[in-house]
Amino acid sequence: MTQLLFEIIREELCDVVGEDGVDTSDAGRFCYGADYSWVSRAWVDRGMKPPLPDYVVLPRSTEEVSRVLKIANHYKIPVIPYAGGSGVNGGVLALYGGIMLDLKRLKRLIRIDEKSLTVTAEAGINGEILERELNLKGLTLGHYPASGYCATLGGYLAARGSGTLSTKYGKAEERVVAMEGVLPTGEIVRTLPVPRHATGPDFLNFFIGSEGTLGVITEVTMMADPLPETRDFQGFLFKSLEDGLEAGRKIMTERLRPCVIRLYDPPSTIRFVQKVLGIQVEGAFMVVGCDGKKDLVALEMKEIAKICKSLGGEDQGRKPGETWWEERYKFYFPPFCPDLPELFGTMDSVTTYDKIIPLYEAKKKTIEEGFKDFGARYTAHFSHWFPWGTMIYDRFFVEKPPQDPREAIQLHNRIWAAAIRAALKEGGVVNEHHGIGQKLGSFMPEQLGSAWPVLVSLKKMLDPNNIMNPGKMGL
Amino acid sequence: MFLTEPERLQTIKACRDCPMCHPVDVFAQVTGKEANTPRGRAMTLWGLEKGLLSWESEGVSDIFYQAFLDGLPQEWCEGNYDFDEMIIGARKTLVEKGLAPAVVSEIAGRIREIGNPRGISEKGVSAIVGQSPSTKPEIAIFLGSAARTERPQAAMALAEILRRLKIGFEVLEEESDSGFLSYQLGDFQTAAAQAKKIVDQLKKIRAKKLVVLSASAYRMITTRFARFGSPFPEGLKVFHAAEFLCELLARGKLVFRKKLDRPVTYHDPCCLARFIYVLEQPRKLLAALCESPPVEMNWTGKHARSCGGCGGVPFTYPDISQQASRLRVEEALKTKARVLASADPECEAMLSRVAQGIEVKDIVELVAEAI
Repeated sequence: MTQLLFEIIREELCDVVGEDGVDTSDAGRFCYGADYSWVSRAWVDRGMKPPLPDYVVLPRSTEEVSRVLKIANHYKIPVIPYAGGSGVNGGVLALYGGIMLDLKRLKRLIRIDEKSLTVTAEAGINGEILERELNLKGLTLGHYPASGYCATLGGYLAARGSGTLSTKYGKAEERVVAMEGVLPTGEIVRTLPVPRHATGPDFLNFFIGSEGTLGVITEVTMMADPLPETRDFQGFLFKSLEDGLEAGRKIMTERLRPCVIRLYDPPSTIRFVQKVLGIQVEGAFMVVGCDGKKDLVALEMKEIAKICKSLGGEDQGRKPGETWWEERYKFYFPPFCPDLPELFGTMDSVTTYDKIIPLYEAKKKTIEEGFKDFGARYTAHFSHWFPWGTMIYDRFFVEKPPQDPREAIQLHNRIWAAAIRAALKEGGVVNEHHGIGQKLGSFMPEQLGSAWPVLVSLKKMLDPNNIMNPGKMGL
Repeated sequence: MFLTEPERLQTIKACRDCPMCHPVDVFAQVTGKEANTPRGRAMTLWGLEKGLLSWESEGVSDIFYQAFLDGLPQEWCEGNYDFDEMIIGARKTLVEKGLAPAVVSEIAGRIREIGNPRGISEKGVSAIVGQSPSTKPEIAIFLGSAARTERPQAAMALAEILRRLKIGFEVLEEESDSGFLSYQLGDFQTAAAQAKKIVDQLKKIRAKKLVVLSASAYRMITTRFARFGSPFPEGLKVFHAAEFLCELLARGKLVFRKKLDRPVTYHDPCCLARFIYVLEQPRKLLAALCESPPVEMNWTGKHARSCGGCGGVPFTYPDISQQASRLRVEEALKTKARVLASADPECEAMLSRVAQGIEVKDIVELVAEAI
């Protein structure tokens, strides 16, 4: 971009959001050089120049978002919607420069409807702040993702996030009632006021999971739930992962309603449960919990305990589960979270119950045997359970990766790609709740098969100048 | 520098990637900029470490001065990284390189010339607090800059309580700024000079107890003077006013004759809540003097949000400071309280500027009303 064009665009953006809403300073832009993805972090860690936006733009309203997108379309420059920056797959990297559209000023809590139990807020509101406001009214969003302290409402949906209690409350996308968004060409659109209807195709899905490639989410109405009367947890220790998985399957297919089932494979029991929570157990550790009315919770917990015990689950009492709940965010703070210089990646997938053990075994084998020379290790836990199957939250680790950043990234890509291919072969999917971003984009044609061109056509129609978050989701 | 080099690097590395304290950084909550989050600031420091940015780069100085340094990110952080000291270290470098905002040296000049950073000419501590009830002082009192200038009400109330309880007091011959603001702004030279000046004054007092009204001065005297090379005199016991009054209450010396009937909420000053953990004493006082217990705000205790007065922001970015004060007052209003109590005249000065529909009072003032 020429200096003159740069200044012209800057002035036009300032006209929309004010001088205070446009940051072109070196340091201000540098702060958007990495998100929470390993590759972007490792790149900067090794002193490599990160991809930077040309402009950071902070709109205060949907109308301002619309006007910014019209400017971007006119000049054909990229726009990257940004908020919490907690994504782990490089979904908000400014790979081609352009406008970093930071939505954190769109943070108004518009309405809590205490009769219908819904909450309407702007997309940039911080998850923890929203949750606390709901708690004041005796309500909860029911969505407790690990990123809840930093992610925003719009981000929850753009990446199809899951919370730690999703087994009962559903993934973020299942809690949406209605939404407002801005299409790439600047039109402001609203979905129907309710999510269940027989009024044609669902426009909600233009935005959910689109990771900013099809538009910008600006306002959302979500379901809320009453804060539960009680929330009980119980810990169980299984001799084998298979027994734990079978217990989880039975709990879900008998249609009990736990809010959480969190089953750790033996290596992650050691790495996380022992080391972070200080619970000295070996085997496959499970935390299971129910919440709601006291009597119902007591009854469900009793039934759950019966199932777990019938599969050899040793009752560990309430304490381990309570400790996990109280310290559930601790895993994600340094120094307790996986961190550089270690090489690591989270490759979560999901499949039906009949395929989950082969999927786990295939990924474990792919990593531990295929990358034995690098000392690759594999851990997994199963933390989001559905009536038909469960997700696998698995990670690879290489303690001493190559020093050269290019070599390190190459190894990172190779391991991840091998694991994804193993997952696809066993009936899994590319990702369950972290999104695609840049990292996994190249797998989208393989994942969608003959449906891929449909998505590409849709993108072309909605975003003719390909300004929205280019290089992400394979688009 | 109060962090060793390994500690500083460890903190930068921990914070540069971690977004977990986003909701508690009030500056970022106001501006919405990633650069104003702890992660953004640490990322900038890493860029400087690696030569991807220079101290002279556009925006670098702004980023380090756009921070409240209220201790909340560290308190929130499971890893307990000392984020504030990391930023104060960066500010110190900027001061040394002559790259700090001009207001930093202007503040140093005002403190040198008239003893406070506000540039308000003072009438003297004695004129504010009046006569001691006895010529034999049991305690010395230290007010702090806000109480000596724009917010003297708590100082007057404290003196009134002492007179009613017949507790003799003395004041410093020449009370000056504690240097806390200069320390937070990275002007260590002024901070060290002020520490020495005050300690020289403290050596002259007769009382063995010092009661400090200002929360930041209390933190500075008790935890920073020694590190600036001027520990307060041996044998002197230092209390914050809330601690002192709470002790009088426990000993039965402080008796409330009438109860406050207006609902109260309490704002924890950052310096008390997070650095010294004076959390219970103000609440005990309020519980004893109010008809109904104080209503807590959404962000309270160790996680109380800043009033907008920390980190030198009222001087460097007054508009942001005021917006932060507004956020805090809005929180207080949500509790339906009619009185917003605190334990620091600096906080009260900040909050009262924007408070509408709620009265801002120091606990000491409420105590004076109730005895």
